[in-house]
Amino acid sequence: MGFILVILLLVSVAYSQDIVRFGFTAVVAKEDIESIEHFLNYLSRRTGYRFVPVFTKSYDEMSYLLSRRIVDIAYICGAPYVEDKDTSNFELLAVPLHKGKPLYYSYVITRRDKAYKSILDLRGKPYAFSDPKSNSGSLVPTYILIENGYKAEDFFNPIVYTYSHSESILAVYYGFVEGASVDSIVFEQFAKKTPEIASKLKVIEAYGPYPITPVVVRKGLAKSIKRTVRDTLILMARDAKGKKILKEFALDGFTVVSDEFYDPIRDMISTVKAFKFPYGNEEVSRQAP
Amino acid sequence: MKKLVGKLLNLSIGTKLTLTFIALIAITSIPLSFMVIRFSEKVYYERLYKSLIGSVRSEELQIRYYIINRDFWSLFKFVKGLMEKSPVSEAVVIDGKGHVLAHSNPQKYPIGSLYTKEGDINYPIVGLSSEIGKVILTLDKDSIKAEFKPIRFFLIASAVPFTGISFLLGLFISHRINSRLKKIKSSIKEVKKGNLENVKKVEFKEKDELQELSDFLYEIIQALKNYYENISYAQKFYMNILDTINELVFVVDKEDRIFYVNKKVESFGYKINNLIGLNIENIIENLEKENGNNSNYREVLLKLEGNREAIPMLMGTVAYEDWRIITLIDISERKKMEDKLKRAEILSRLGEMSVNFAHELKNAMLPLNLLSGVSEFSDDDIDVIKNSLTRINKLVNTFLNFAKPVPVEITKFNLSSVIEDILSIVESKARSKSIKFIKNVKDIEIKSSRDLLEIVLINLLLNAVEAIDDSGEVGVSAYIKEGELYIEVWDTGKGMREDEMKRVFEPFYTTKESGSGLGLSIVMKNIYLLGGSLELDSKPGKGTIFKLHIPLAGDLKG
Repeated sequence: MGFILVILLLVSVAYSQDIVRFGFTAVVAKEDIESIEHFLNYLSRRTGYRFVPVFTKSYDEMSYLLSRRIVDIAYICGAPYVEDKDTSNFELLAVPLHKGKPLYYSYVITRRDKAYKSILDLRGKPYAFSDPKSNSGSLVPTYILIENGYKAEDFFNPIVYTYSHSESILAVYYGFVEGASVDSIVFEQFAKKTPEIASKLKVIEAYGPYPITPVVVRKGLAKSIKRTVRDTLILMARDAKGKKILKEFALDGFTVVSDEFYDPIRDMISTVKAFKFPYGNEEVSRQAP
Repeated sequence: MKKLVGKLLNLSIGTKLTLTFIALIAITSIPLSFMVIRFSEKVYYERLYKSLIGSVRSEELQIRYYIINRDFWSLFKFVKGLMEKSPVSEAVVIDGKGHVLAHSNPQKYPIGSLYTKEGDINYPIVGLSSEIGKVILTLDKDSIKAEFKPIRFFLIASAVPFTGISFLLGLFISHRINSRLKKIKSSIKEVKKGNLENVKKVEFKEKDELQELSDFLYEIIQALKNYYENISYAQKFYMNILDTINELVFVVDKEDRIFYVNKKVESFGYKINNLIGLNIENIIENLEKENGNNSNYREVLLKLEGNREAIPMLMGTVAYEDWRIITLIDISERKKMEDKLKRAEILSRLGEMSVNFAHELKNAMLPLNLLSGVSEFSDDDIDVIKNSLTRINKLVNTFLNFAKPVPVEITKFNLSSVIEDILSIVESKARSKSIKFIKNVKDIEIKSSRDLLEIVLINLLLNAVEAIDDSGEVGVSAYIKEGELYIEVWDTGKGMREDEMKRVFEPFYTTKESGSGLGLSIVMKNIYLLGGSLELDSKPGKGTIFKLHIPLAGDLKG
């Protein structure tokens, strides 16, 4: 039973024959609505389809919406892709390029005035994860702690789920948590837009690189639409307008990868699961402090 | 405290008024400001509580959901939001056991820490049946105070002009009162200087108590003016009287310094101005302070300037507590008259005396007459002639001596020892008789004429001895009473008849065979010279007493 928050921004539904609902998750700063609008407008002009943004709080919700065909295309994280693509019936459409590569990092951040040097120094402290299913904001630190012999739920006191990398950054900034694991692209984007906040923060560890957050598509979507959208994304970096919009998301363009590209994440999940760790289960992870 | 009250009371009316105005403003504005602030604070607090509770209530369902789901981050955003409300200094959401779920200051109160503070607002979050948590807000008193800064500032800022206005008002009124008082004062100053004529009525625009006071003062000054006019008239009147009378009038203070003398003194060559402040002893001789006896006239001498002879004066004194009035009457003319009278009296006595003298002379010459027819004188005859001539010579000498004025010399001597000496002479003459002498004289020193007194006493005592035939008593007593000498001489001899008593003082009257008849007249003359009096009392067969009353030195006549 999840609380589902769906915001449908209907740009125009008067006479379009094809409406494509594009889902956004914590992999982008959802607060940056202007950039998202620019992106979708660009896609609309290039493809002729009407794009409507759909936001969810969690990856679970997005997977659910994809499985129920409420969302057609979604920009999600590598970990939920690996976990949900079969059960929720979606597949890779394209992957973005960050600094020319479809790779990113999981940063461990703290306030600049703190003396922490590693995630291991934050034992017993409140620590922010973004989404329980996030790769950089949950899976990676859980995996690192397991490798060091700790169970994340016991190691931190407590884990604070913000469901958003940018909120995790704010939680560290306000001192509500001592540290957080965040998406490196989101952090850099955030730092660029609000340098006064970023200047109070520091990255003490960077894990990775990991396969970047993918754009997925529900399997049932018309193949023509899939192809048109994928081509548009891949060609986006070639024209100035597209490039400019990509830059707003700190991206260089889109490419296509095969499913195996996500094997490192798949391996981490299996490692975590092999430890019989109740991963991604809210009932267990949300312990009382 | 008393000093302070005293100081305050001594302030000028103006300052008092100004202070009163300021005090009034302070008394009214301070409690008023206090009440306004208290009231607005109360209203503010009520509003604040209402609004804060309202904002928690509006989020209550969300908070409940966050608490149940342990959505720390959402709770944090909620408390962060509450912090945006200005006076909230601390906002916290705790669970049912008091553990922090989210605190506005997470560094101090991290998740899971125990929170025991009460806070100002406690809003319980209730689940289906029981309390699952609480929102606690603590208010920042300082920032609330800061909220009231504008109100305080406004109240103070409004009190300042009020105080200023009251200060100026006080100043204005006090200035007005002072300037009016000054006008009144200046007319009083004129009064002080004695310029009663220059005092004009002071009129103010304000017909208030000051005007009344000024009018009242003016009336008093007018009354004073009349009074002074009367007094100065009376003064002139009495001065004129005093200056026209024939007496010298002095007024002296306790130290006998003259502070008033009438014009009469100028007729004695003195200038009034030279006498004022001078001790009166400098111009009056024999001035003895009397023991408060007023109007006791005595003779004194008024000294004159230069080497002129002092003038006899009759002095009267009226003493008051701090001053004395001394009056002097010139008695020099009277003195001359008295001397003339005395001479006339002596001459008349001499006339009387001459009759007796002639009679005695005739008696003394009788043998000579008888013998004038004898051609040859026997020895007896010659003896008779010699005796007669001796007697005539004696008579003539005595007669001459009586008429001759006697110089009076005043000395100080012991009366008791003088009487003792006289008694020893008298006793030697009374050896043939059995006389008991009784002397009752205190050991007193007196100032008088010793010669005159000796002659008086010898004569009286010899008369007393002669009055006793064979035996009896002769007594003398003397004492001083109120500055005057009293002497009594008595005997228990044969006494006198009334007709004898009348004649005894006549010169040459005698009952004795060998007496000159001048004894008692000499006594009388001497007592007169001593300024005294004499009383005689006698009864035949019982005895005689002479009572003398002689004033002591300073009052001698002659």
